[in-house]
Order: sequence, then C-alpha cells, then structure tokens
Amino acid sequence: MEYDLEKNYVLELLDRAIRMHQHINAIETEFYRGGVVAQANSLDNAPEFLESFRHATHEVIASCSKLLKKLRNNPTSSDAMTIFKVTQSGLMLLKEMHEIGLANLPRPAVPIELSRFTRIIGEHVFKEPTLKIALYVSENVTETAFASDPLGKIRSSHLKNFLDFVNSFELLPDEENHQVKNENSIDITIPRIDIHCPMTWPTLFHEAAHSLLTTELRGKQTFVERIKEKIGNSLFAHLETLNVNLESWATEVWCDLFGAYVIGPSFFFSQYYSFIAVPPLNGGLHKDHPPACLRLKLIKAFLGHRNPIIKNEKLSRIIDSHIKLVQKIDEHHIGNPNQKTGLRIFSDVMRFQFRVTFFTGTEPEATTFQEKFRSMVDVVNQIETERLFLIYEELKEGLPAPSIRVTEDYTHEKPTSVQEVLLASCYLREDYLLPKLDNLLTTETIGNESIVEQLVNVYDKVDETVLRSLQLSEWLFMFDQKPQDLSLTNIPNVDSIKTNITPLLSDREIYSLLKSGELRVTPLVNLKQQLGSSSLDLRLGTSFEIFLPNNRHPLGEDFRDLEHYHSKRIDLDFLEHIVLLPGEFMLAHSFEYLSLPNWLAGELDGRSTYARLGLEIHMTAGMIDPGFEGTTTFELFNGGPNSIRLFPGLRVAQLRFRSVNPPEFPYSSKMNAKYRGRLQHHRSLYKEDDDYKSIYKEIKKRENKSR
Amino acid sequence: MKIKIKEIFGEELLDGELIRRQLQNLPQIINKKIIIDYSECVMEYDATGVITDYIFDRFSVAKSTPELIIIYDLDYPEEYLLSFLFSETKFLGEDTAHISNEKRKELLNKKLGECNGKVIIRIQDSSTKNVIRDYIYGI
Repeated sequence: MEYDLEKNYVLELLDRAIRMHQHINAIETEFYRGGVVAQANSLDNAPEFLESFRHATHEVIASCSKLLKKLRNNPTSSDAMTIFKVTQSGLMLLKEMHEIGLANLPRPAVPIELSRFTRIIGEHVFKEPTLKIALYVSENVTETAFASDPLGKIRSSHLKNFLDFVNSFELLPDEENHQVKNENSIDITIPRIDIHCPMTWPTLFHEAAHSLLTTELRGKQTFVERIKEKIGNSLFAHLETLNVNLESWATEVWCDLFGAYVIGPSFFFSQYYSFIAVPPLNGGLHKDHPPACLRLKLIKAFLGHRNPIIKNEKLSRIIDSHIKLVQKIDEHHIGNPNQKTGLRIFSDVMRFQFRVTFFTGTEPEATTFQEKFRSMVDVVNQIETERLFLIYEELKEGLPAPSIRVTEDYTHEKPTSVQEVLLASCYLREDYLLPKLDNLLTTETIGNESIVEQLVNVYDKVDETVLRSLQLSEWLFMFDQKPQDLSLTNIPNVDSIKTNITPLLSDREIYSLLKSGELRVTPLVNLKQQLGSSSLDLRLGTSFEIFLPNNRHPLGEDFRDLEHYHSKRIDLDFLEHIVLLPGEFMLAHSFEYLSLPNWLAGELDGRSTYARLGLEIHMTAGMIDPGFEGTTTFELFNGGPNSIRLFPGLRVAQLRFRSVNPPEFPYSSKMNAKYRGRLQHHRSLYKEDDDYKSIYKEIKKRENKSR
Repeated sequence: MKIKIKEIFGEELLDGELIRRQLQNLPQIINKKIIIDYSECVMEYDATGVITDYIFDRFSVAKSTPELIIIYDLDYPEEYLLSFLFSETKFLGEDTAHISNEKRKELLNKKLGECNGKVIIRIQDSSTKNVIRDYIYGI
C-alpha cells in the first residue's frame, strides 16, 4: 500500500528543517564568519551556540531520512500512523526552535527582493506609493505572528501613558505637549526563516489585506450582519453552534480570497506552506481561524473560476494532494468537516457571498472594488501554462528567469511578472525540489554532514535563482520592446561558424548563435539595442561589492591577515543607483547570464560611452573561457576625476566572440572552475587556487617547525 | 428515477474536472422525470454545473421533455441555489457566473420554455424529509 500523504508530510518536515539549517548558515555568515558585522563584532562563543542549533536540525533531517526509508519498505498502517505522529512532533520541535531558540540569535538582513515585494504591495495593491509598508520579521510562526505592528501596542498604551503623565505636569511654561505620533503605515509580519524563501511570500498579501479591509471597502455592515441578513435566522443558528468568532473567521477567508485574487495561484501554495508548518493545537475548532483544509478548499474553488491554469493536470494533482494532507491533519482535531452542518454553511456562504459582493459581482459596489485592483488581477489572468512551464524549466536549470522567450528562437524575451515567477517557483518546489530530497535521502546515508550541506546548497541555489528573477524583471519592463527586424541578411548556420575558426564574430554570426540557443544570453529583451557590428552589449547588474580599508588588520602584518579583506555587498532596488568615486574600485556583474558553447570564447570590454567618463570594466581579466556559464564579473574602476553614477541595466560593457577549436577541458567541465554558474559577482577566490594553497601550506609548516 | 449524488460522487462537489471524470458512474438516464438529491453535499457550480449539463444532454439525446427535481437539505436563498446549480452551464449559455440572479432566473425559464422542460428545486428537511419549499421554473 502506498502512503503518499505520510511521505509528503515527512517531506514537508524535511523542507522546514532544511530551511532552519539554511537560516542558521545565514546567521553565521552575516554575524560570525566573513561579513562586515562579523568582523566588527567577533563573538567567540557564538559559533558553538549555533552548532547546537545545527545539530538539532541535522537530527531532524537524519530522522526524516529514516522515516522515508521506512515508508518505502512496505510499512503497516500502524507504522504509517506512527510516522504521521512523529512528523507532527518534528514540526512542533522546529516551531519551538523558531519561536524560542531564534529569539536568542541575531536576525539576518532582509533581502532586497523582499523589500521590493512589499513595495509592490504598497504601489499596486494599496495604490499609494507614499504609503509606508512596515515589514516586521518575527520569531513567531503561527498566524498570531501576523498581528499588526508589534510596536503599536507600545505606542498606543505605554508611550501614551508616559506622555500623558509628562504632559500632566507643566514642566516648562510655553512648551508644547508631546503626543504619540500616528504612523501611516501598513504592517506586515513574516516569520524569520521565510525571509529568503520567496515561495512563502504571497501569504503577505493576506496580511496586507487585513489592513485594507476598512469600512470603506467592506461597507457599514460587519460580515456577520451581512451573512445573517442573507441566510436568515434558522441557517444562521447552525453557524452559531460552531461557537467561534464568526467575524474573525469571515475576515480570514476574505483576506485569503483577496490574496488569491491579486497574486494568483501561488497564494494557494504559500498558505499551504504556512498551514503545514504549524501542527494544529489540541482538539476542536480554532476560535479565530477557520480550519486550514476549509480555507484551502475555498481558495482552490475561487481560483478555479478565475485562473483556469490551476486545472492543469500537473498543478491540480499537487493542489489536491495538499488539500488531502491538510484535511487529514485537521480531521484528527475536528473530525470530518463536511459532516458539520455549520461548516458546510460557512463554506457555502463564503464562496457565494464574497464572490458576488466583491470579486465577480456586477453591483456598483463590487465593480468599484474590482476596478481598484484591476491592474494586479490583469497580470494574474495573463499567466499562461506554456510560459509558466518555460519559467519552471529555466529555474530548474539554475538560470534566472526575469524574462522568458516569446518565440521559438532565443532572440527575444518578455519580462516575467512576479505572479508568474512565484507560481513557477512553487511548482519547482513541488515537482523538483521535494522529489530530489526524497531521492537523495532514500538513497544516501545521512551519516555525515556533507549530505545535509548538499541539500542546503540545492535550496540556496533555487532561492537565489528565484530571487534574482524577481529582482531583475522590474528593470526589464523599461527596456522591453516588441521584436524588431534587425535587417540581417546572409545569416550563416551554426555549423559553418563552428567549423570556420573566426577571430571575431560579426553581428550575423552572433545573431545566428543566439537564435539557435547555442549561445545563451538571458535576459535579452532588446537585441536591436544590444547587438553591435561585432559585439553584444552587456548591462550592469544589481549587486556590487565595495572594498574597505582594513584598519584593524593592516595587510602585511601577518600572512593570515589576508583573510580580513574587508568588503561590503550592496544590492540595489529598482531605480536605485550607486556612485563610483574617482579612484574607487568595486566588483559588479553583468545583468545577463551567459552560457557559451565549448568552442566559443568571449572577450569583455567597456563601451566607449562610459570609457569617456573614466570607467573601466575589468582589471586585465577580460577573457571568458569557452564553455563558461554564469554572470560575468565586472571589476569596475573610476579612472576619471569625477564620480560616476551607475544604474543597473545600463549598457556599460560589450562582449566580443571568437570561435576556437573545442578545448579538451572547457571551463564548466573543470572541477576547479570557481566562478561557474554564479548569478552575481563573487569575491576573489584566490585562496582556492592550488598554487596559493601550496604556498600557504609551506608557510604553516615552517611556522609549526619554528615553534 | 432518483439519483443520490452523495453516494456516487461523495459529499464534496467542488472540482468540476473530477466530477467530469466520474460522470460514467451516473446511472443511465432513461426516464422522463429525474430526481437528483444533493442532500449533505457541499455544492459549487464548477462541479454541480457539470452534472446539470450531463442530465440535460441525456434528456436531449432521449428526445424527452425534461422534468428535473433537485433536492437539497439547506434552505439557502434562491440566488445561492441557482448560482450553485446553473452558473456557467452549457444549458444556460456562456458566462452566466457573473450575471444577476434575476437575469439567471429569466434565462433558465427561457431555456426550459424552449424544450418544454421543468425544474423544481425542493428544499427538504434532512431528518423529517418534509418539504420546506419548492422553487419552480419552466412550464
């Protein structure tokens, strides 16, 4: 007998444990190893504390491996039931680690992509660019994490009491009284281990919806008053038998449907992730939140009417399986929800009443509501199955997908929307990430930590790819143009370019390679602009590394001080810029991800337009090896007398190509290819060079001898 | 002929695709008069509409005058019932999810008039089986 639900549940626990492990790594990197903060505050005992966390997650991961193996090995139904309970207990452990343990550890920085995401909520949902969206990172993982501004209570009670007290005295004549400042902000809270996990972000729309649901939008009547008026007393009496806070239940559902309305099907998945991560408390219905399975079914039904894409066989199979799992978990606590008349009525009323009153109705109130969110909803409605799976394929290959090709060839791409990328990333988790975990853990022995780190690396790579896609796409909308005729004639075929060794490829040849996909450059939204006579322009990427003088450990004092090479990474948000001062050096990267065939080499150079300002693009390292894959690093230097303002997306560099006889060992095939597949620049990895290692080893050996 | 939907499709009628795949489980419809009992079911038009269309298709194939009695155990407002049972059905025509209740009712009467059909939505107490009310459409 197959126990798919149990297996899926174990995989969810595993997923959560890896996320915790990933978070601990992020804390270590930022605060205790390598980061600027770490170098300023070296807390020697902290890594040991982190180790105990890491050990706990390692134990959970190793246990998951055992559970998965057991499930593959003809378990009895009693085994399956025990595995279900063990999984719940594991999730409870992780919840406690998050809520109690993490409170004792510093919080890593919020990635720029999450700031962007909250900005989108402000600009496109609330339609108020000036509105401040306050994002709070929380140790809490249950839905109480999302209770408004955590400082609000302090402002509204303690600070108010304090100021009232101060104001009650006339300390100084003619002084104005101090008042509590009213914050015009929308508060959103996110559990801290989700800050780097974009698949969970759509849930933030639910949180934002709580702030949106003002009297203006809802009308004067409460939800409960509306329901009672609509269904009459006798049916309403069934709802009252549930003995819950119906207004709160209805509000939760409204916020769910709103989230699904503006962000689309990825909302279903993100809500599922948040429900599954927290096992329900002891028996009975929650006072303020409807059962998770009922909410997921309502979201599914709602999406089903609006977004036919969820009826796609692959997606609907996953959605149904998630609902079944959540229902099984809920049934342990509340029994079969369909057999409770009150729950049936609640579900029916929510589906019908909210749909008509807000989301699809034709009454003036409803159309005003729909008009307000039309721009977001239009984007959701444009998600197409074919595009979705193309994005998925790109992400799966570790390629960012800020844009996706619109034609059969690769010479024109359209920017992707946040909604598309998030849905593709959710599908990636379900169809690629979790099965990969299952496969790895049931075939490998979790005896050593390298397997765990391998799993974490898989997650890191997926997250980074999705985050880069989200970050870059916003810029692309500015450069996007309809496919233009390049008026190129006599375009040679790939084979002829390959066989005729050419020192410098022309526009015809570059075009041919791009069109066939032999040379991949992504994103490519405006080829006419980027293609020169014998070059392809590259844009400036979004991340920069600024190097700082290291005053604590001057170079040369000790060989080991080379470790303390101070630098600070800056990620720019949309329309932000960075200034390169005269004589300043920094690392940056190309906006484009390149993939060169093993018979094509690239030569990087600056563009004359920027060279005239004094900008250098590389520090004598302009050669790109055949078979290279990744973004290319720019070593920027300002050799002019004035500062240069740089925006991501500017075409600052160009790439020339030459065909070569295929080398025996193309770049990407080399085990020591340090910069392969990078989505952004990387600091120098000189310490990984064999010659450096040899020298260092020899010095160490002599030091030890002299002692 | 009486069809108890819960026994055939289960208590949850939310997924139209799922119901479509299970339509062969419905008994062969040969009678002029059909009673469909949706008692104890959670209804949604995406799924129930599939059943409605299937039955009207059978009526059409059998060249019989449709007479359909739909039984439900919750005394919902008429607009809920019509929406759950007839929205987006091929029988009523395209895009009937977003029209007003009056319009939907008018359309249903018109379509039934064209085929001399009749539909009764009967609200019936689940325990006593007493009829609470009938909504009648068509002739």
